[in-house]
Amino acid sequence: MEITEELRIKNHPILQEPEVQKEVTIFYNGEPVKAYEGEPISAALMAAGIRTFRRTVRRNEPRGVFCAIGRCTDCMMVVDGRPNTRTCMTMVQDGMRIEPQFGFGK
Amino acid sequence: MEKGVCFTGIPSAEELAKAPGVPARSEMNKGPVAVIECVQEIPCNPCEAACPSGAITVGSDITKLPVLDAEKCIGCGNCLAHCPGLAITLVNVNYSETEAAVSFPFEYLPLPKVGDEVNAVNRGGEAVCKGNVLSVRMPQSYKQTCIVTIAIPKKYVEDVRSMELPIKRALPEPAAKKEIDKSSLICRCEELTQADIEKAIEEGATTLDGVKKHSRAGMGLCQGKSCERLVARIIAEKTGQKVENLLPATHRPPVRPIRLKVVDDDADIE
Repeated sequence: MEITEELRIKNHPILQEPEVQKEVTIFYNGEPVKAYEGEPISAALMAAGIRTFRRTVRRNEPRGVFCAIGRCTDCMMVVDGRPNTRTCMTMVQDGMRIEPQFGFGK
Repeated sequence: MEKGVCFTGIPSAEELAKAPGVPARSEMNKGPVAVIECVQEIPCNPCEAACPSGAITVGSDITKLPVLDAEKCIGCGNCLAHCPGLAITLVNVNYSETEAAVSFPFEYLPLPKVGDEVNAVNRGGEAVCKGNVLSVRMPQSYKQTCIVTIAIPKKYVEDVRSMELPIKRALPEPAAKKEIDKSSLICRCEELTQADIEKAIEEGATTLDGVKKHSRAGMGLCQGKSCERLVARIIAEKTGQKVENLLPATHRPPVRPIRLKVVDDDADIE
């Protein structure tokens, strides 16, 4: 898995340095992924180099973060067994199990 | 191409000439003065409160453009840091015999250092001349907005409004702009392309609801939040209707997906 830790903002011209949050572990397809409390699932996955969150039902196309504000539903995954979860709006919790979704999910 | 902030993001000469916050050149020649290049009537007035000498007036109707009384402006630059739109610069035409000084808000990293030579840019971000950094100020009251002042040759004073980043960042090459074609995805949820929407229109659909019933555009998980405007534009182009007459489509609650359990405790599916 390609690690792209530099995607996380470390210094921001207006917001300054973000407060360091508690590190937690989520599981993507059973593999541990580092995450920080208070960030959405999608942020943790992107920082870990994961871009394909689901595949579509008709064309089997990959989808990931598109709008990132909870409108487009492109980033939906199976979270702790629940399909159709918007990962851009759902905050990480320690031990969460995330799986990619195919089509409408089960 | 049409000009102005609505079309290019850059205020046009006509818009600036009409803006009541832009002082006349004769006023600029008198000394440092705020140049408020605010040309859109939006509800916003922090500049008015930021001015310690009462030179800026928006008034009780806060969608009005700020009016500058150049006589009262003391050239302190406080309004620069408080304008959320970064629309204000401070211009000192008479900085020296040959140079003018321009101050502007700069919200990027890294910040320049006093004495640096930088590329001074116009409103569109294009480099027009070299500038020398005179000061880099960020007192606490500026709330993280940095005000940079640069000296530039006097003849560019009407053009220069900011500077390039002091270092070149290795930015990825922008992807080639792709025009919308028949295979462009319009409804992401139902995976419908421009061709699919056009087909629905050719087969008789003339409204958003018509296209929806014909093609399923807007019936997917996001319920048309992503495609509604795109579909409306295609219908408008194909049928000669106006986009604003087509919107909105029929909306029914809930506005976002909820679990069935929320409305029925006994629902046996989530």
